[in-house]
Amino acid sequence: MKKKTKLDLSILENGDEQTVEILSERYKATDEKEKERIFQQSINRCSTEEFSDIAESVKGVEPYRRHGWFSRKVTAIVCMLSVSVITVGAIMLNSFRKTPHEFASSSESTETTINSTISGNETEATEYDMSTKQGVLFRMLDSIYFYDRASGELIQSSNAISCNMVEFETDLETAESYSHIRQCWLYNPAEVIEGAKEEAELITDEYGTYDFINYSDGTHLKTQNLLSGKTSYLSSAINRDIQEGFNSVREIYSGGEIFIEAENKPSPTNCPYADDCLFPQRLVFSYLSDMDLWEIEGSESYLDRECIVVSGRTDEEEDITDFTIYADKETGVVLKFIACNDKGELSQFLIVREIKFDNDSDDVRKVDEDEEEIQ
Amino acid sequence: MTHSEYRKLICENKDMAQRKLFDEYFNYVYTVVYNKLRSIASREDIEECVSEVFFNVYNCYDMNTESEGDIKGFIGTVASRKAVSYYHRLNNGNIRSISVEECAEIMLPSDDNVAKTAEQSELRRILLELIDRLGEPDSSIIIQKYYYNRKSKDIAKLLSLSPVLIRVRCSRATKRLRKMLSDMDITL
Repeated sequence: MKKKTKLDLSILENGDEQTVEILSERYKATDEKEKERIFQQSINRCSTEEFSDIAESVKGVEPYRRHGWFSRKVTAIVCMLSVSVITVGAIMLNSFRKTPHEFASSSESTETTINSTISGNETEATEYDMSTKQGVLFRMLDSIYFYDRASGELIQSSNAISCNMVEFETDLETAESYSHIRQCWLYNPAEVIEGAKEEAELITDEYGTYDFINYSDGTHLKTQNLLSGKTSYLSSAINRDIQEGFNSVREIYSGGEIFIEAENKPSPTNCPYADDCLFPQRLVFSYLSDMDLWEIEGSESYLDRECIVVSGRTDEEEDITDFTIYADKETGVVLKFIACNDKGELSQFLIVREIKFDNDSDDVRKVDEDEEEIQ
Repeated sequence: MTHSEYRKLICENKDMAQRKLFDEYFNYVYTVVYNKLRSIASREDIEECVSEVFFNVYNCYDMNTESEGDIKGFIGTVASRKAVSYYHRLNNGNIRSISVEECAEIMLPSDDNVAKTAEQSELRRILLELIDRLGEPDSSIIIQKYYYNRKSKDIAKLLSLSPVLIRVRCSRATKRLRKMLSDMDITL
C-alpha cells in the first residue's frame, strides 16, 4: 500500500539567495511576540558589553552613607504606589464585573464578532453556524478540524441485539490512536439509551464474540485480537493534513436539487469504530443528505456539552425510518444517534458515555508489540 | 536602508537607529538563519543566532566606512556567516576532518554537483511559484505549516485567523498544491 507522507518542503532548506529573498519578502518568519523577544535579547547583549567597558575603569571602593530622609522618602513613595495600584485594580474589577445575563450576551456578541472577522468572506463566516442546516452539515463533515485530540467511550449497535462497547483515544495531529472494541449482548437497549450502567454482559468467546484493539503509531494502523493474541496490519494511518479523498463525492439535496457535492474522505481519527461519533461523515451521507427530510429541533445539554438536536426520516436505509442525532455544537461530533424502524422499534443507536477534547482528553495509549506476532 | 542613512540615524539617536534597523531587516535575517539551521537547530537556537546577528551588526558596524549602498548586503553576510558558525557548532560530531599530509596524497572530489544544484534551484523556484499561486492566506499557511513547522494554533495567531479555519484551509491548500505538482510531474 502506498505510504502517504506529509508535504515535505525541505527542498527549500539551504536555498540560494533568490529562495531566501522570496521567502523573506512574501512570508512572515515569526509573530510579533517572538520578534520583540529577539530584539530584547540583542539589546541586552549590547548592554552587557557596555557594562563590561565600565567595569574596566572601576578602581577602589568608598563607603556610601544613605541620608536618613532618603529612605523615608522611598518608603513613602512605595506605600503611595501600592495604595494607588490596589485602588485602580479594585475600580477596574468593579467596572468589568457583569451579571450573568450581561456576561452571556457579551460573550455571544464576542463570538459573533470573531466569526465575522475570521475571514472577509461572509459565506465562510456562516459556514459552520449550527443554527442553520448548512452549518450543521458542514460542521459535522468538518468535525475533525474543530479538535486536535479526543478520548472517550461509546456504545454502538446496528441491530439493537448486540452492541460494540468502544473506548477510544485519538490524536489528529500525530495520527496516533488507540481503541478497544468488545462485543456485548443487549438485554435492555432502552436502558442503554437512558444511560443505565449495568446494561450488558460480556459473553465468552464460545459464542464467537470479539474483543480487540485497533491502534496507530502515526504510520500504521494495526489490530490486535485480545482473545487470540494475534496482531495484524490493517492499513496506513491517515493523517488529517494529507487526507486524500476516495475520489468520490456525495450529493446533498435541498428542494429536490443538488445543494452541494461533498467529498467522501477517509477518516483521520484512525479509530474506525468511533468514526460515527468523531467523524460522522457516514451519518451525514446516510441520513442528512436530503435536507428536506430533517429539521433542527433545538438544542439540549448532554454530557455537559451543548448539542444541536436534529431529527428526521429516511427512506434509504434498511430498517430505519425515523432518527434523531445529537451533534455537539462546538465540534460537530455526534454524541447520540437513535434510529427506529417503521414499527417504532429501536433499530440502531450510538450513545457516547464520555468524551473529552484537546487538553482535557486522555493521552493515546501506546501498545507494546512483539514484531514476530505481526501478520 | 542605506549605509549612510544608518550612520545618520546612529548619530541622531542610537536606540532608534537600532530599532529601525531591526524592524526593517528582522524578517530577512530570521529567514536566512532559519534556512541554514532548519533541520539541525531548535527554535531557541535559531532565536539566539538571530539576536547575535543583530548584536554583531550593532557592535561591529564601522562608522568610518565609506559604503553608500544598501546595508542589506552587509547584514545578509553577517547573518549567513553566523548561521554557518552555529551550524558547525551544532553539527560538531559530523565534521569531516583530514590532515594536511593526507591532502597531498588524496585527490578529494568536489562536493559540488553543478547540474544537481541547478536542478534544485529551478525546483525551488517552481515550488515557491506554485505555493504563491494558491493565494493568501493559503500560501502563508502552507509555508508556516510545512516549512516553518508551526502548529495550527500558532499559525492562527500569526495570521489572525481561527485554528479551525487554518486546519480546513491547510487541508484544501495541500490538496491543490499536490495536484499542481502532480500535473507538472514533480514529486517532493
